[in-house]
Amino acid sequence: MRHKQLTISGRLRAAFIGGAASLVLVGTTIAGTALAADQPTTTATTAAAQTAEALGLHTHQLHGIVKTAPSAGATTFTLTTVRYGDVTVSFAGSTPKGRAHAHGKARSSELAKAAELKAGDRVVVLGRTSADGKSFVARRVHVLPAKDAAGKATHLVGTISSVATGSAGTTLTIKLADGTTQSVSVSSETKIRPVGKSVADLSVGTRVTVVSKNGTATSVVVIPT
Amino acid sequence: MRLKIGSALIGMALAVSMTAVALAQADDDTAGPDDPVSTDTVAAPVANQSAPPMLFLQLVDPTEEDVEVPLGTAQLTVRGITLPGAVVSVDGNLADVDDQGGFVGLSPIDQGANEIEVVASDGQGNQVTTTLFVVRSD
Repeated sequence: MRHKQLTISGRLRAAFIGGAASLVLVGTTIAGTALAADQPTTTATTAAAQTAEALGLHTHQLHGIVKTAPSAGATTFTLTTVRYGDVTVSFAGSTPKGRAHAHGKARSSELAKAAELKAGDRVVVLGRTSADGKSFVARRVHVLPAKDAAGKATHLVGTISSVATGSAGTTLTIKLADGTTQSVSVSSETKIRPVGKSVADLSVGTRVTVVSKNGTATSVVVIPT
Repeated sequence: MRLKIGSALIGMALAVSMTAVALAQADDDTAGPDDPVSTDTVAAPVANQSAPPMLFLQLVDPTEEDVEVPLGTAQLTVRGITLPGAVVSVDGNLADVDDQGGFVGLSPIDQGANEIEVVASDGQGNQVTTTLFVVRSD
């Protein structure tokens, strides 16, 4: 068998062909890697969409917002919850119980039938998960009072910038970290902590955390310097 | 001809080597947080050592945010853990916080549904809130 002797240029040409093949392979590898790198994003998106839990056998209470108002005579409604996503709730009706003293704040109300609900109502539902695990069977439905920002408990952390004392009590103006100021009333009902501190310790320049509700300070905590 | 094929094989071998290098590089770039040799994993705790402790709020009792209590229960006791030195309130009432960050707070509850906010704040003004939905009924 005769062997053809390769010239230098022939060898270079062959090496070039092999190198070209290598570039094709590397290119394919990089493209594959790039595609593979995209996969976790897809997975993360899917995971985010699946964050809502499934109703469990032990789920006996839900809270959420009524998605759509049930029609007259309807016994089911859709509840949008943070934990379980949209949940179909069936409610055949119940006899509301009487209400006790509400400590001076807005009260919840118990419903007799689903048709009393309106879209956007904030509700707490007592009951159980249906046998197929796909819906919730309510025995009681309570509507929470509208969320009122003033009724929300807040903590104001800052420095006392002024103290005004009048017949109604003491008003503190607090300069917050963002530079804004807020005023709160301090009454004889307001707890001042740590134990041993009093209104006399609430002077200009004192750093405090004020726990307030309905615009009134329930507590003032002096922050140690 | 044999030499020509041989040269082409050398080129292919080079391709395999480059592919292996590319794969190794790709593996480094896509190393997950569980990868013990991940540079990011090693670097993160070092960076956190100089960061101030982050405010947190964890309820120990009750552990669920949806709670049903008997009609005779007029007051809810809330227990939890937060950052030591934080201020905690339960429905606007100041809770007692110990040196380890353990806290106990009380809230009156009405018959029917109650929405109780547990708020923790630190000296920087950061706040964390957890809301409990408590139904008091027979």
